[in-house]
Formats: sequence, structure tokens, C-alpha cells
Amino acid sequence: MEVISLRRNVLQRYDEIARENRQLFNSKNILVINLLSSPGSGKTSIIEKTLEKIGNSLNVSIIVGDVQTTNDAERISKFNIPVVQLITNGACHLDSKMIKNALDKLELDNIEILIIENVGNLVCPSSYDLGENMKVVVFSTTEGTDKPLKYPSMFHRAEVVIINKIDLIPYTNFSLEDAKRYVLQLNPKTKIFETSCTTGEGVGEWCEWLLEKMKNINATK
Amino acid sequence: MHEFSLAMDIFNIVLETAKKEKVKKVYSIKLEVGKLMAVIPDSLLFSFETISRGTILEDTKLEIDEVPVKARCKNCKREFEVNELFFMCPYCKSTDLKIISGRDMFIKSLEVEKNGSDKLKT
Repeated sequence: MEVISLRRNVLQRYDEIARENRQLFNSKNILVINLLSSPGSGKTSIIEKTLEKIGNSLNVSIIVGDVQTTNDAERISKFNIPVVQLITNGACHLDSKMIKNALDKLELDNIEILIIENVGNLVCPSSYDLGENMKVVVFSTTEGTDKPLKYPSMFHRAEVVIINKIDLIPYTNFSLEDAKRYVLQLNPKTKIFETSCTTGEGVGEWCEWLLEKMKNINATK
Repeated sequence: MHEFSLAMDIFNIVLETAKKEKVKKVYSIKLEVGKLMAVIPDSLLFSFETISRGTILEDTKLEIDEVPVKARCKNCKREFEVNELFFMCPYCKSTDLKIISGRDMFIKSLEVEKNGSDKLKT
């Protein structure tokens, strides 16, 4: 019996493509957001609210990943912006190769912000780099205060956490203070926003931050 | 359930290596799985068994070593294990850390029987 020493990263193939994607995005000055959450936290609603605020002033394109149906893409299509729907047919996450293929359907020279709405799942997508600038994780007040602690791998990698559905807090036992403490415990650098897509509260702060981020990216080029 | 797609990737990498190295039989695959990968070992084993059934890797054993999350403090330069996923330096309380292990999944090595003249059947 012999031993072959490999020391090979299992996700190497995806990481290589993610690196290529990132180089391409950088060269085109595109800010790329990987938007993540469990099913039903409000990813699509956040996108809708964001587009209402900044859709007219910035060129935004969207890639939407779902296990099935094109419902989310249809919701976004009313904004008349480029939307690519990826149906994973059962796979629980998007990977860099799927994104690379989807880019053929977009005009990269006309995009300033690309939002990738990942499949609703807080476990699997955390390990798959798509080539994004930042991971934005949404979680809602009805999911429980300790959500970040239950999915540490995801929250650890989040640059931004949006706590959504804050209008429902009076009807739950959700503690905003504890939730924020848990988020910062997993990643002290995470920027936290509190939003309600029903009342519109907090959406403005998130959009302003995004615009500022966009300015910084352009300034460093 | 990303274990299934990870098992598929492992399967493909091992098969490709076995062909290249003219391997007759793969006895075992040694895997290092970082805790931050959020992999459930049983699910990974089950997925690999399912995928490898009826192939030359059918009897190959998957040995999983879980790798703890370790970090280096950028402030005091000390290294430590991140317990309870509390990302703070236990010595100086700084939160400016670099994760040095526990994020990835590696195929460390394969135990094989080589036979240069026999072609591998897939």
C-alpha cells in the first residue's frame, strides 16, 4: 500500500472561478453583493425596497437563485432592470460557476451594482465564494434572537447583517439588543441595519450606506 | 445539505488523481474538515457511499478529521483556538483576528495500491 499526499482544497475549482469573477467585477467597477438568508426572511423585499430608493440613480442588475419557480424574478421585473433567474433544481446554494454562466446574460459595462440573491439557506451558501465584494445576511425578527449563534459560519463571514421585520417585534419575544450582541460576537466588524420592508423603516440608512460604499469603490479605482 | 455536492467534488478529485497516478485501488481518503465548513460528518459519509456505489471507489473509506477553528490576534500576535465561535482574543480582548485554520476542507492524502500496467476501470 502506498500513500499519495494531495493536500487539495475540495472547493479549489469553485475558488478559482470565484477569483476570475472577482477580477472581472473589479475591472468593470461593479459592486457585487451576495445576499443571503433563510427562506422567507425578506431578501426579495429588501431588493424591491432598495430598487425603489436607488434604482433610478444607479444601474443595478440582479441575479436571483431559487430551487424552483421564477416568482422572485417576476417580482423584480416590474422595475425594468436586467434580472437573471437561476433555478438550481434542488441544489441548496449558488456557486461561482453558475454565476460565471449567468454573466453571459448581463451587460457588465452597464452595471454599477450587481445583487446576487442566493438560495434561501444559512448553511451551505456560506462556504461558496461567488466572487462578491461582500456578503449581506438578512434575518428577521420572527426567526428568533439566537439565529446568528445557530449559523455561526454564515454570520462570521457577513460584512453586513440586516435585521428585517422590526415592525413585528411587539408580537414576538425578539430582543434586538441581544441579537446585535450575537452578530458582533461572531464578527465584530459587521455593520448592522434594522429594517422593515412593510413600513420602510431603516431602508434609507441601508441605501445611504450602499451609495457611500459605491463612492469609495469608485474613488479607489 | 451541501454535503452531497462536497461528496461529489471529493469523488471527482479522487477519481481524477487515481487515473493520473495509475492507481488500482483506493483504500482510504483522509479528509480535513474545518469546523467553519458546517459539515455534518455522517451526511458526508452517507453521500459519498451513495455516489461511489458501483464505481471503483465503492469500498473506499472516507476518514474525516475535524479541524478546530484557530486564529491569530493581529494586535498581540498570539494564536489560539476559537471556542464557542467567540471571535475575540482571550489574551488582549482584541477582535482584529486572522483565521488560520478551520475554514476549509482538504483532501490530505489517499491510501492506494498502484499497478502501472493495469488500467483503471471506472
